Amino acid sequence: MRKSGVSNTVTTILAVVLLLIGLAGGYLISSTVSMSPTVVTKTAFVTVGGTVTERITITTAVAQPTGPPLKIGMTISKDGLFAPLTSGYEAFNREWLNWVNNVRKGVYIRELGVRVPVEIIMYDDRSQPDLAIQLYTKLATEDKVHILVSPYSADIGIQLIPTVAERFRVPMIMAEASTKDMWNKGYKYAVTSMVPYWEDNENGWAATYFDMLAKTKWAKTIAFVGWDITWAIDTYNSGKSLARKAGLQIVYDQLLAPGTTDFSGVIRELRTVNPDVVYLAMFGPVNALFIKQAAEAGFKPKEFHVIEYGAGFVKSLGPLAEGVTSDIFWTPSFKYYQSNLLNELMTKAGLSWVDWQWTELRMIIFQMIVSAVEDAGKLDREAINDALHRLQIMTVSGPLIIGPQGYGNIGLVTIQIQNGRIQTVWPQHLANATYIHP
Amino acid sequence: MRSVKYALIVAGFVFAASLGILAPTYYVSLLTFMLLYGILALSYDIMGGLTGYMNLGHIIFYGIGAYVFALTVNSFHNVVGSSYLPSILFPAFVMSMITTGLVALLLSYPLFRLRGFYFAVASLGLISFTNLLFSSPELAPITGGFSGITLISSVAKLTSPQLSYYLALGFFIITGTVHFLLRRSRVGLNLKCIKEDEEISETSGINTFRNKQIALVFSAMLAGIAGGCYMWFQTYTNPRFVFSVEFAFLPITIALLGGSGTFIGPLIGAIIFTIVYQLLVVNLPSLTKLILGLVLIGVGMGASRGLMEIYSLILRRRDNTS
Amino acid sequence: MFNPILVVESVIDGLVLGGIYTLISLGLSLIYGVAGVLNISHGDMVMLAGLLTFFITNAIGQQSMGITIASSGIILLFLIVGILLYYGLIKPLTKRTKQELLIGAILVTIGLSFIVQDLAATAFGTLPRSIYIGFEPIKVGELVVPFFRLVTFIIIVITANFLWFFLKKTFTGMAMRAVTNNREMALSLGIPIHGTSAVTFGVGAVLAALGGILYLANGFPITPFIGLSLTVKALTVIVIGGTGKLIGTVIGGVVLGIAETLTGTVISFYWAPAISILLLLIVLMIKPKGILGE
Repeated sequence: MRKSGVSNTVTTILAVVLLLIGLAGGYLISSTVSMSPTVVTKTAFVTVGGTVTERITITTAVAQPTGPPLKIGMTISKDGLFAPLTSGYEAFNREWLNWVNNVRKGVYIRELGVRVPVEIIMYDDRSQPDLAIQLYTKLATEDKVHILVSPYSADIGIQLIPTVAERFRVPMIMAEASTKDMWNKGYKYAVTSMVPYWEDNENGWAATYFDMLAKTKWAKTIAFVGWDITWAIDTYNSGKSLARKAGLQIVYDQLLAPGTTDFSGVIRELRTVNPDVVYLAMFGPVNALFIKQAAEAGFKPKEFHVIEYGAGFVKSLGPLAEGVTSDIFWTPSFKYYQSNLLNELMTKAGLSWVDWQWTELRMIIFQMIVSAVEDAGKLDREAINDALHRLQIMTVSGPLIIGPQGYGNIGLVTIQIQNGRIQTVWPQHLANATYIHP
Repeated sequence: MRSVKYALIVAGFVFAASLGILAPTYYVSLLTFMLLYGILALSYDIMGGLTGYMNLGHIIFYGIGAYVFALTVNSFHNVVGSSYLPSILFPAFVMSMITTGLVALLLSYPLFRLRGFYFAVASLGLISFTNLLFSSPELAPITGGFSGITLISSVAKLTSPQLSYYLALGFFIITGTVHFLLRRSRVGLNLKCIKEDEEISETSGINTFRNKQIALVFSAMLAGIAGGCYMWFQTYTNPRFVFSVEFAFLPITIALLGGSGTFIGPLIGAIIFTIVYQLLVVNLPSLTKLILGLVLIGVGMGASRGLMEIYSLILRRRDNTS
Repeated sequence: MFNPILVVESVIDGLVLGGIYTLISLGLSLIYGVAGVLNISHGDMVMLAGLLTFFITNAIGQQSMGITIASSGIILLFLIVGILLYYGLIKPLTKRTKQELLIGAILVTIGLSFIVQDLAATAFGTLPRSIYIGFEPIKVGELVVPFFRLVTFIIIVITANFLWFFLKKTFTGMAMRAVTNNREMALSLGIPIHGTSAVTFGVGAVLAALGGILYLANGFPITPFIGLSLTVKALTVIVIGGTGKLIGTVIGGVVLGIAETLTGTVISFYWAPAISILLLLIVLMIKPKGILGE
């Protein structure tokens, strides 16, 4: 015992020192105020559900506040799995807020007779579902936001609707997170702009893609590979049905456990089957991985179709990305309402569309919020919720009508990588390039 | 000396009880988590510390407890009447406890054919297996599959941080008591012998299997109740969260950190871990794991009996000088 | 799908995959046998080597050249790091009883695992990384084997032989075996326990690093957080094969690899990840000491 005496003392001192540092830092709620000329960002640290995380409030430095602010709440992930997919939204939110408060001069509230500023409160959910739920609860109860915006993940989103939106009666707009089971339960407080893309008609995720295949008539056989996880499975199932309707023969059909990253077996089988098109229903980086492994094994179908490219697709695949098709809600070549603004905001936020392909959904959400609040005429959750459910507005992706079930009608167009750039290829009235196929 | 110790313990509990009302809500949540980790560490320690069997799969019971709690509440809430809380909570907790106890009972037969290293690895493997089981689409109608399980909203809205805190505190006291009493009991004595040398214990007439089984079942039931409490607190979980190999190391780490084999040890470990983790995350959110790793190395190298060893050393020095 | 060509290709694939598992598990097994330490951070070393290789290769530009250069450097680096780790972290623990050593080592290696993960995540980001080398696959009649799988297989066989030679014929190797078999005897024979253990750590780290490089080079994705699951896989291999002899680990690795790939081809790709656990549990129930255990 005596022998380890010295190191025990050292350990005790080490532990105490660390604790002191921690305590000292802990009792200082660091508040950093950063000023871009017109937008103020306040960062604070809060403890929610056993974890400490970051809370970012964006407001404008308004000389005289005209009225109580319209508060929008959401979480983004600055850490963990979803960080590469959502961390850019912080900058985007800031740019939009700058625009809405300083250029548009706020949102008009009929009941008060003034234009009020918008305030966005964002928490960092660190990609943890537990924490996300706690944070949304906090947004609804303590921060008293008027509207919530969903996180990226549909898995988390589907839990949030009953546990926060319905429970506290706060309207929640689902962003990227949408899946069939959100819309068939009679929820009253959730809306989304997206079509019910799991359907196998013109609403389907790859509906325009299969329309294109049917019209160009070049493909005969198709293979389906996907992860059995929300969103991916929806596009997988609707894709199969749409493929059949387009006159294609499904020669391979393999659902994998989510998280599978070794595709050598599947690729082996695909080689013997030799389909014209391979439809990959997984997350962007995983689709890229599949294509790489296929090339390594000497398998290259006439075309790969992926349900999303994800960040860094072209960069990580290089020449392998040529010709790969996918689906998206908006491209920079669109000319609909405020598309120019969206381009501008993304540039200012330093976001390249190639890597942040779902930003238009966020823009549409902002467009929805502004219209709904002005339609409602007051800063009241119920009124705003009602307004959202009967919304008919023009968005960057075209006209949006929210149906009684809560989902909208914003559909997808087909894009293809040509010469390292993403081009819109279908439908023809929105295309800016011609579809390249064998 | 002894009366001082007891007085301290009582004071500690009074303090803990008052915190539930006085502390701001965020801190109550924090403390609830701390207590849950403490229960996990303590219940783990019944196997790991008292018996010497590293049950790396301990959190299986936690997760099962959580799921069973949710399933019970969701199935029976309209039978018993949503508004009267104890009538919902009580059967749910009991079900969690019974189920995990049964699972432990069943598992003890195959598991105890293994010793030491093999036991540890097998129990670790069980976590992945349970994860697959609860995520599988075949069982999804019951377990919710990949997306996890939620407490039905009519009940979920009745939860509050304060209630969760007091439940956790209560269960923690129960767990600590069980740990304490078990150690002092005949079974505890047997377990100590088994830990020292299993063959000799066997030959001197101790029914090693029966004793180990008792330990495992207690360990499991306590973890199961903690799982139920966790479900009540969070109203949602999914298999990747409770059946993850990374999370599995948490109770062991805490138990070892504070000092395995005593009942104060894991409590101290839980407190220190929670405080250090939380406060570090404030300053260096992206390097928290790194610092945590450094602390673990420090403790591992300084005192393998955990911080309890330091404490007893300090006591000994004080006794020597007084 | 049952097609003889596919089955054969699966077996080949499984051999290679199993070979990679074997390398990693051998490292872990050696460390446990000689130094008495259950190295929880072993899988993180695999990860680290893989990620480092990725970034160095990208920095150099040329894929195949890049990998060769990166690998040589990394292997040397890990050898040194392994030795240093032993002297720095493990040696101070050896003054204790075997049980306290094990517990202390677990705490220390968990701590190390956290540190490595965090450093990797901060330095390299959390996105999965993978490479594509772009060699033409090899075709033998109707059989197709990705080029690099063949290369990997050759490397593994060479390494395994080299290791066998090292353990059987060199003084250090024999010292390692002596310490594993009987520590007291080895001590009384004048074998430097610490030196031997240190070298073992180095060798173990090198094997892990090689495993990581091969893992990456064969197109598997690496994130900073796969470490622990790799360690668990290595443990599974060791248990399946039996902890007595190293040849058991080799068999365990190959069996696991082939089981995984064959399950996918013959039964279903959906359940392929489950086979390793099932195999583990089955082996433990039927033959608790492992296939070649003693």
